[in-house]
Formats: sequence, C-alpha cells, structure tokens
Amino acid sequence: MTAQGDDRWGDPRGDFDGEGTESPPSLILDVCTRAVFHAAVVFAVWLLAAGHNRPGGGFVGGLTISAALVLTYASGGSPALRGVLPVRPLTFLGVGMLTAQATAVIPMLLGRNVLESAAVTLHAPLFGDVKVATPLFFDIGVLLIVIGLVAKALDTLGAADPTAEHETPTVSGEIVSGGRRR
Amino acid sequence: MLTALLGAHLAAAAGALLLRRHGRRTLLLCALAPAAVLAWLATVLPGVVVRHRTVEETVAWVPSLGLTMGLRLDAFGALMALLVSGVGLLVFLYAHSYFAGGPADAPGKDPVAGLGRFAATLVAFAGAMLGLVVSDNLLALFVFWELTSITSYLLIGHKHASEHARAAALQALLVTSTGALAMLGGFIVLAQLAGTWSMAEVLADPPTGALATGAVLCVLAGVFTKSAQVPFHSWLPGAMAAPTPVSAYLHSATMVKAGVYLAARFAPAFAVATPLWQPVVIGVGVVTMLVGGYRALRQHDLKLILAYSTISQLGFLIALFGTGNETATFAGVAVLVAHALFKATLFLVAGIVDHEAGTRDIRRLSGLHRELRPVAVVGCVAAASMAGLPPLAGFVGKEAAFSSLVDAGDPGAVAMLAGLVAGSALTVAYSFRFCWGAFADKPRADLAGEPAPAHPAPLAFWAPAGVLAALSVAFGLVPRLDSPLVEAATAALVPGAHPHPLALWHGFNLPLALSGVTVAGGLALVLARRRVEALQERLPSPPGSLEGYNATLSGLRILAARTAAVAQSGSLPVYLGVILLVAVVAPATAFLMEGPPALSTARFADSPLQVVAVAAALAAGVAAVRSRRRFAAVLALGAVGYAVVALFALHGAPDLAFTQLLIETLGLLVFVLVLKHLPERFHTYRWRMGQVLRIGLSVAVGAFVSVFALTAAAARRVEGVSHEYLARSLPEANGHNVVNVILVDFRGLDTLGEVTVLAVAGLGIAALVGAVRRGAPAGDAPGRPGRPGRGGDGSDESARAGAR
Repeated sequence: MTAQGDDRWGDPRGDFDGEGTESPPSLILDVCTRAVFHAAVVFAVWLLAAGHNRPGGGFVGGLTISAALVLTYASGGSPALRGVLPVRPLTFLGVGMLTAQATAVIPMLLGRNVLESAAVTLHAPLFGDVKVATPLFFDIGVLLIVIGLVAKALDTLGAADPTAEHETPTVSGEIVSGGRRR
Repeated sequence: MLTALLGAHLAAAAGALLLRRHGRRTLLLCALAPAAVLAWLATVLPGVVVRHRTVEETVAWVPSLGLTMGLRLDAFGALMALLVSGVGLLVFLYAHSYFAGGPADAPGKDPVAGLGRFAATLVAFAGAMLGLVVSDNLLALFVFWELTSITSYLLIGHKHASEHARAAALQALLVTSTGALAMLGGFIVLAQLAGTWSMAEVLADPPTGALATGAVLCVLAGVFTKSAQVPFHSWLPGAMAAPTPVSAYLHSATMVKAGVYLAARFAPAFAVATPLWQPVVIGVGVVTMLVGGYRALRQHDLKLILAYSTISQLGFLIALFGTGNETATFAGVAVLVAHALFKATLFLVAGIVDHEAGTRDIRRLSGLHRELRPVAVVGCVAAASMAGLPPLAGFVGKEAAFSSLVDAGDPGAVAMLAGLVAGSALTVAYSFRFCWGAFADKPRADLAGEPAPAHPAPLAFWAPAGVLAALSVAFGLVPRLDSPLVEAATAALVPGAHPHPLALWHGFNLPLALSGVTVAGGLALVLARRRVEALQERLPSPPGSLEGYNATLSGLRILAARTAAVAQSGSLPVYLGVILLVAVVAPATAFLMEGPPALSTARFADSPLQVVAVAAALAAGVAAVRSRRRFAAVLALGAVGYAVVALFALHGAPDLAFTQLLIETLGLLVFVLVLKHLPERFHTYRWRMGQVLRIGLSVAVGAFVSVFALTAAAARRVEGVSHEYLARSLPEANGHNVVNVILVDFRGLDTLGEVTVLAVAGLGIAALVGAVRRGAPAGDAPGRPGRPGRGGDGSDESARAGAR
C-alpha cells in the first residue's frame, strides 16, 4: 500500500477493494428500512409542523427524511431510492427554492419587509385551534431543499460508482422516474 | 411622458417576441415606438429649442436606497433623441425591405422567428439609447449605457451560427463594457465628490483635484471604448458582422455616438479644469481620425470602408467636443448631425448593394450605377456630404469646425487644425473610394474575377436612404433649417453660449481655403490610388488594436490557468491542511496582537452525566486515532459526535442536539456507503515530514480550539442579542421556539442564503459528476455497454449523446 492511497477520492477509477465482490443486499436491512421509512417521514412532518413552537423545524425534518433515504439507498441502491421518491431530486430542489423564495418575496410585494411573517389561527375539526405562521412555508422550502440535495448526491454519486453500474442501466445523469409515476 | 415612451419600447420588444411567427411584420410593429417618440418630440421641440426649456421627470427607482431616476431632456438631449428615433424609424422601415426575399442574414433554422427576436432586440436598443440621452442620474445613464452594449452584442451576434459573428460580438461587448466599468468607477467618485448623482448638478459645479482628475480619466476610458477611439477601435470593424440595418443604426448613427455624447456633456465642465483633458481627448481624437482614414483606404469591403470611416469621423467629433469651448462645440454638434445623416445613408446604400448584387467586395462590383441609378445618386450625395463638399450638411459642419480653430489661433489649435485638415483629406479620398467602389465602371485591373450582376432595388428599399440624403442636401442648402436646434444644443452644453447661426457661405476666407486644400489633397490621393495602395502594402502595419485585444485575452487565460493550477492542487489533505491552518493562524494572530486573553471562569461540571459524556467522547476520540481499520475509526468518530449530542442535550439545547444527532447519523451512513470503495485498513506510516506536519497541525488546532472556548465567553463586551430575541420571539414572530424563529424569521435572510447554497451545491454535484462521466474513457460510461469503435475521446461520445 502506498502513501498516495489517501488521495483515492480524486480518482473514481482506482482499484477499489471489494469491486465485483459486493455482497447481495441484506434482507434484514431491507426489511428494517421499509419499516422505518414511513415512520421517519411522519416524524419529519411532525417536526416540521411543530418546529415553530417546539424543537424541530424544516432543516431537522429534512435531515430525518434524508437519513431514511440514505438507509434506503444502502439497502437497495439507486433503484430503491427512485422507488421511494415521487419526483426527481432536482424537482425537490427547484420546488423548495421556489417556496422559500416566495415566502421571502411575497411580503415585499405586499409592501412589507423581506420574510416578514404573519400568522393565521384556523379552526380545524379534529385538531382544535391551529395557529399557522407563514414561516412554516419557508420551513417547507428548506425541508424540500435538504431532501433534494441528499437525494441528488446519492443518486448521482451512486450512478457514477462503477459497482452500481450493473443495477442502473439507463441513467444519464437524471433519475428516470420511479414506479409511482407511471 | 418620457417614462411612458421608454415603456413603449419595452412593450414593442415584448410584442415582437410574442408575434415572432409574423417575421418581418414585427419590424413595422417596432417602428411604432420611435414614431411615437418623434411625435412627442414634435410637440415639445419648440419649447426646448426656442425657450431653452428642459423637460424633467423623476421616477422613484429604489426609494428605500434613495435612488431616483432623473430624466431630463434639454436641447442637446432632444437633438440626440431626434437622431435616435428618426434614424431608428427609417432603419426599421428599411429592415422590412432588407429582410424581404430570402433571409440573407438569417441566423439559423427559423429565419422568420429569428426576425422577431431581431426586431425585439433592435427596438430594445432604441429604447436604451433614448434612455441614455435623457438620463440625468449618472447610475441610470450607466445602466442604459450597458443596455446598449448588451443589445449591441446580441445584434452583432444575430447570425449566431457564424463563429466570426460570435467572436466579434464578444469582442465588442468585452471592450465596451470594460471601459464602462472604469466609467462607473469614475461616476461614483465624481458623485461622491460632488455629493449628488445628478449629472446636471455635477457639471454645474464640477469637483476638482487629483481624485477628480483620475475619475474623469476613468470616464474617458468609457468614452473612448464606446466610441471606438484608438487604441480600442478594433471592435467596430468586427461589429460589421451584424446585419446592415444594425450597422447603420448602432455602429454609425447612434450607439457609437454615446461616447461622443458623454464627452460633449463633460467637456465644458472639465476641459479646462482637468489638466490632462485637452491633450488626451484631442490627441486621441485626431490620431483616431488619421488612423481610421488611413485604414479605410485599404479596405475592399464596402462596410469595412464605412466602419473605418466611422472611426475616423468619431475621432473628428471627439476632438471637436474635447476642446470644450463654445465655437468648437457648436461645430461638433453640426458635424454630429451631418454625420448621422450621411453615415446612416451610406450604410443603408451598402446594404442595398449587398442585397442586390450579392457581394460588398468592391473588386467584384462594376457598373452598378446603371442598375441601381437612384441608389447610386443617393449614395454619392451622402458620400459628398461626408467628403465635405458644398452645398451639403457635411460641408457646413466642417467649415464651422475649421473656422472655430482658425479663430482660436493658439499653437494647440493650429496643431489640431493641421491634423483635422489631413484627416479631412483622407475623408475625401475614402468617400470617393466608396462611391467609385460601389457604383463605377471599373477597368479590369481593379477587379478580381467577374463583376457580380445586380437587380434594381424597389423604391421602398431605398426610400429611407433617400430621405436621409435629402436631409443632407436640405441642411446644406438651407442651414437655417437645423441651425436653431444646433444653437440651442450648444447653449445646453456650454452655459451662456450664443453661437452665430450656421451658414453655407462665409465669403472667401481661410476655412474655405482649407476646404480647398482638403479636396485637393483627397483628389491627389484618389489619383495616386494604386501607388498609395502599394505603399500601404509595403509599410509595416503597426501592432493593431485587434492584436492587443487577443493578447490580453490569452494573457488572462494563461493567468487563470496558472492560478488555478496553484490554488487547486487536487489533493484533499492539502485542502484540509490549508483550511485548518487558516482557521488557527488568523484568529491566533488576533489573540497575540490583543495581548493575553482573559480566561472565563470555568466550572468543572454541572452534573455527573456531563463527566460521563465527556469521558466517552475522549475515549472514542482516542479510539478513532488509534484504530487501524477505517470502519472502526468511522464508528469511533460517530461515537464522539453522539457524545457531543449528549452534551448539548444536557445543556438544554434540544434543537441543537437533535440537529447534531441527525447530521452525525447521516454522516455515518454516508461514510458506510463510501467505505466499501476504500481499503479496509489505513496505511502504516513511517515517521516522515508529512506525518510530523499533520500531527503538529492537529495539536495546534486542538490547542487553539480549547483556548478559544475558554476565552470566548469572557470576551463579550456588549449585551448579547439572545434576551432581545427571546422577548420578541412570540409577539413578533408567533413562535415559542426561539431557535427556529431565529432561523426562519430574525435571521431568515441568512437561512435563505444558506439553502440557496445547498441548492447550488446539488446542481454542482450533478453537473460535475455528469461532466466526469461524459469525459470518462470508453467502457466506463454507464449504460452504454458494448458500443463498438469508441476511442478515448470522450468529447466525441458526448457530442453524439447530445445529438440524440
């Protein structure tokens, strides 16, 4: 082994350990991931909604879902990741940016300051009085961006890695949409 | 009203884009905008010219920054607006015929839609140019100035399939906008010195001193680049790649006059007060006039003859306005009007010749005066005006220029006069070259190959040129037609000026004799045509402006490549080392300069659990360093992180703890994904310099962070913001969780910036990995197994992939 080994990051085609000897995906991991995934999403939504008044928020919610995505990717690679994403990662990024920017700009158009917040109290049947503040939408944007970034990174870096090549025959930089879309 | 007119240009541009399927007809739609300006000018012109009124409007631009866009139309502005809109209207009508019958200048697959875009850009230019000459706010002037550069870039590059056109467009943009940046710097300094952004106020009470001189020189850089003065002139001949209506409008009548316009505005205030002004401006102007004239004599392309003649005439104008005195300014305005009339005409004529004969090369044109009789008459009248022959507008302007310098009589004026007479002789020669080259019957010796056949041009095609030529004649025969406007414009430029009216005949005097000298000199050059050309061939051509531009560009590229090679070595350890080193050295320097920092009163622990968490972190840290296996090291690192999570939680920061927990988890998972591509064990290092450096840096970072943590709490000098945030969180932001309120509300703009960085990073990952994959050698590109015949050339592959 040479001292240059630390720089392997720069060379995507270095002779990797384990190339071609990759073990098949673990069944236990797969089942656990399936069990945890939806719980993680629900938890993230709760974090998002509660964030303004209790610990949580868009960034944390996004990270929670991201962790679930990484698990999914670890268990089933790019195909599994695509299976759970309803739209392409860049769409997450774009919609997230739009949402966040809109929360910033719309108050300006109404003659207020950038990102100025407002709150509405809604009377929802089961939940009682729910106070909705506009920063919630900003948080949603943040959440979507975090998810989009992690998903894009996983998908792109995974597709670039030679061992994932066998599983992803027709990728050209973009996800071909998952099964739900068709 | 001015604002509305500017809006009309925008609306016309939008309309042309929407209706781009209608092709040529969008040009007529766009002609409505300059027509509206002309109609409005007709109503205000009497007041502006006779009673010296100004039309002023103020538009709130960015009120919160105190920026207002002052629009101000005085007589000189009105004259410029008249030229911009008058020539603009005619050019739009002309373009309607020019693009008829075969898209000679079509940019690509869809000539009709391309025309819609063309019309939109051209009318947007007209609006920007109008805005430029009516702006009083220096920043607004700069914005319009840049808008004309950008629209010019788009119009030069209209035939975007041609590499030559694209390069020429880029050169024009780079040269003019580099000068404009210098100009912006000059504007800012001047505005700060004068305490106002209003150009009229700055000029009324011009700042003086070394700083003001530097600022004025910066402004002049903008003037010289925009008006194609030596040594920045080479973009203008390149700009001839644009369709001819664009050359007629932008690159002779209007845009290149923007520099002249600004010089004319600034000269009365700064010519005398700024020590370098007169030698620089007049020197550059005269040299440009001579260089342009000399070069025009060796061109074979009609448009290039005109381009160099434009450079020459712009030099003439810059020199005249550069004096800043009343009579020369008056002559300058007269020449400005005459030049706009004859030069636009000549370009339109060149376009007709190109359209009807299929070439602009004078070595392939012969006998066109038969087929294109009316066009030839129009062209020769305009060329005669350019040569300064009586009784045309060009003659009147040139006489005024000569007599102003004869009257001044000082040595500087005599030297300038000599330069201008020589330049005018060249003007006579190249005016003749244009007419003779375009229309005359030529002997075999002057031709290269068979002369091209030509068709007669329809009336609608040459009528706009005819109108302009008729104006050249009218203003020459009856100078009183435009004299009031020229006088009023002079009075608007030079306060208190009362120039004599323009006149065709001043009697037998020195200026008339000088005119005779120029015509004689020009004729001599014409008669000795072949010998002059041979001489020009033999003389070494001095290093040109184009070479300078190319050398600058390649120099910049080499500099960028070398900088990148040094700064981006590609080694992660080096990057990390540099980052850590800076993180230690920069604050540590501050520490050392401030003297020994006061240590905050540190407690040992608040609870036994904290001791446990810290002990766990320490143990895991030691394990991470000691570990020989990557996987174990990663797990140990994760354990350090989780111990810190426990510390945060114990300190009562649930948000922070939670975020740290998730980041730690995410990091671990990603590490696990990556680890399968890395060797299982670390290398066994021998003791070497690199190893010592790493250990030294690590110790330094650890020591510094410890000291920093101990002193940071004691360094606080003002009350923290946390109390205020806590107090304002619920009432103002409707949130109980102050951490989240800070993120999304109090410091929401920061968060917006951060998530934007995240999004850009996501796009960057996609782009970089995509580029690496496309550039990868054969066989490594995923998803295309077994494709035969691919070498290592990834670009070929990506080109084919792009075509699919």
